[in-house]
Amino acid sequence: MKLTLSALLLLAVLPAGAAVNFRTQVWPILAKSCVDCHRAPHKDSAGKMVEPKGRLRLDGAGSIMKGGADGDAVVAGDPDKSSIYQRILLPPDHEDVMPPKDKGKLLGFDDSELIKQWIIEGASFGDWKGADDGAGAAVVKKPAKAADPLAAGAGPAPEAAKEAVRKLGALVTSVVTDSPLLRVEWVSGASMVTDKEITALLPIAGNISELDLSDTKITDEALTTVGKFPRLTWLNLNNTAITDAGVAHLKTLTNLSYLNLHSTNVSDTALTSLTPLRKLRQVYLWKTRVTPASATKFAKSIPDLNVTLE
Amino acid sequence: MRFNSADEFTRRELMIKMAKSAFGISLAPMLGNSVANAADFVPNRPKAAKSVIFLMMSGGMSHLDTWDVKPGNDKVMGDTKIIDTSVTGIKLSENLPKTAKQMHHMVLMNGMSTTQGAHEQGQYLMQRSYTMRGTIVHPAIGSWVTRLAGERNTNIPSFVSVSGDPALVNGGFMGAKYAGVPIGDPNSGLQDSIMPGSISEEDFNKRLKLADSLNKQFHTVVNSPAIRDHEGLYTDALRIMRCEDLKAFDLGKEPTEVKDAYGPSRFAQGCLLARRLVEHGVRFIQVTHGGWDTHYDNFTAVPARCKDLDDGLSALLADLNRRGLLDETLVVVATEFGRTPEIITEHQDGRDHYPKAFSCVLAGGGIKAGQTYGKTDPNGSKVIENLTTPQDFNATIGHALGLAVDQVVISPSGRPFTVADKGKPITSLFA
Repeated sequence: MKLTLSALLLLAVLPAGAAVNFRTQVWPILAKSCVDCHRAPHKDSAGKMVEPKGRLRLDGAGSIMKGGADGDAVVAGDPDKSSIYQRILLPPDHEDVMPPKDKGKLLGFDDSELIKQWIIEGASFGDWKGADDGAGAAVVKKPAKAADPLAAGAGPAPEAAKEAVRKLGALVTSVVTDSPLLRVEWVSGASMVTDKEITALLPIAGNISELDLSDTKITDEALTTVGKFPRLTWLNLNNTAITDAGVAHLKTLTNLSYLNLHSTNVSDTALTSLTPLRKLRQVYLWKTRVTPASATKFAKSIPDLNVTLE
Repeated sequence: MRFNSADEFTRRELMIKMAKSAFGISLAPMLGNSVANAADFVPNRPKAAKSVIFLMMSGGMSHLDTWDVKPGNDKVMGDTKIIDTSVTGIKLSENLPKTAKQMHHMVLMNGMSTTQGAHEQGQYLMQRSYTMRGTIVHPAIGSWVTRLAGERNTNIPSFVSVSGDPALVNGGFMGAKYAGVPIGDPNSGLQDSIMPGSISEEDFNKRLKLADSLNKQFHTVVNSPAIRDHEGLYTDALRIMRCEDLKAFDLGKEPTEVKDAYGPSRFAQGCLLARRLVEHGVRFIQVTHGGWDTHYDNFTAVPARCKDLDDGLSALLADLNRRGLLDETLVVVATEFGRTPEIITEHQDGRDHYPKAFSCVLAGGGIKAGQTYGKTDPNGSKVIENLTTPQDFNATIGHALGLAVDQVVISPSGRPFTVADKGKPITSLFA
């Protein structure tokens, strides 16, 4: 459903208003520039068998979607991952450019844009099948975008808000491509960070999923703020002045999976407030007052939880 | 694929040479603030590693006497005995007893194979992903990582090389600003970065002001960008000398019991320094451990080299783990090639160069640990499963960091290059 919608949106911006037709618009380009080398194994004039170059055939819908030795030729909806489009874009003297220097003329801008648009629209072949020996039917590969349920409902953080946090000396980065989620850390100058700086993170509270406060001068007070970061999965409090009372403020962080408390003053009491956090997978307790017995008991209280005491 | 152009830096190189001769500044490569910044980098996989500790076993580490042991095959194993590890079914050489206890953090890459059988060429391919040629110098893997992932801590260098030949970590066509900053002895820290103790801060500022006023006069007469650039280098050098992050380089700040846990060798102390640098946001730390070229007396020489490796590597993995840093730090043990399964008796039981099959190690950095990848035949003479080239290996390092390994950087001569040439990352090693 989501794909159909985005395809519709793209259609709206197409000048002619019509989708790219593979049979009449894309196939003639492939037939002219690609298929000579990328087709079914055949005998050349000397009677020698010629295999398709790079084990890639572009002469049938099934084989186009199957890809070749270098992986996917076409990933529907994602020209960046479709090698057929990437290779025609390379600089003319690049050794990987298609068609190769000695094999024919490079594609013009109009042709490459058509191929790109066809991929964006979902790489549909319509009723065109082409050579279908051996390759089977076309399986349209959708871009493998990991759906991150955590990011659902989070819009991108406003640039101005991110900039304001950077002004406080923090390194603010996106955790992964195309995600609104952020990592905030003080790689340098952590000793200048106090509870006040943590309050300043509130405008991007919904975007922070990783937060490194190690070596900062925060107190338990800062953790009342941190408790308001609904998408927090990763929290490092190593070498800070926090106590058991502060850790109690973290019980709202139901998405937390990594918690680093090493070299803090926390004790067995802190672990009690953490047991409701069922997504916890790694907790670090080296150089704390936590006893081995409590650590072992705590590790067993949440499935797949790893507790590192030393 | 994305494209960007390498900057021209000839003038900067000249400035750096001048600054070096005037100050003896070993930091100069990172000065000038024009290195890529991590704030602009978005990894292409979640929970990507932030740093790499690259332990280079220079000289060609014998795979059979370390990682790729052959139980029951005395003919190729010679005097080397085999021990169990913390992972059932995986065995190591008795030369690595402490490391064996950390096997659950590691992946043994036992299917490595290279085309280069000479040291210089082999190390070049391993660290630069391309074969050596006369017309260009390709950047080192540490330069690529800094260039593509950017500096996390802009106050200190992002690529540091401990006890290795500086020529092996130069930035190639990316230039001096992407070169590894060399540290000879991990215990003596960064060269020429400490304020002279006999001069008070006040006196130092006075001298600076005097130099400044002299410069101002000079600048009114000779007003050129090159001269102003040079002044920028002074400012940067001072920023570093006063910077709190400098303590990252000071092993004196480590408790004695931690220093002792790593062991006394220069290599092991280099591993400890690497951990401190990771904590301060350094992207790529290379620690070189030489002496693996065991043509003669292999069964005395390898255990001696292994002692230092075993001390340093095992302590490093345990230390990163208890600090919660192992998942975001990729630890690499690499070498340029392996050594012959045949034992050369006329060379006091030595082993010669063997590029066809060898072993490397990956640990941490989000890797699915406690396994082996790649396999050699029962003699350790040929890869029979999952052959891994140096390019594949470097692509895998790039993948761990969430780099787009197909990102093209154009050299000043107009040629396109990528971090791992045509190497394919082994994505199955990651969760």
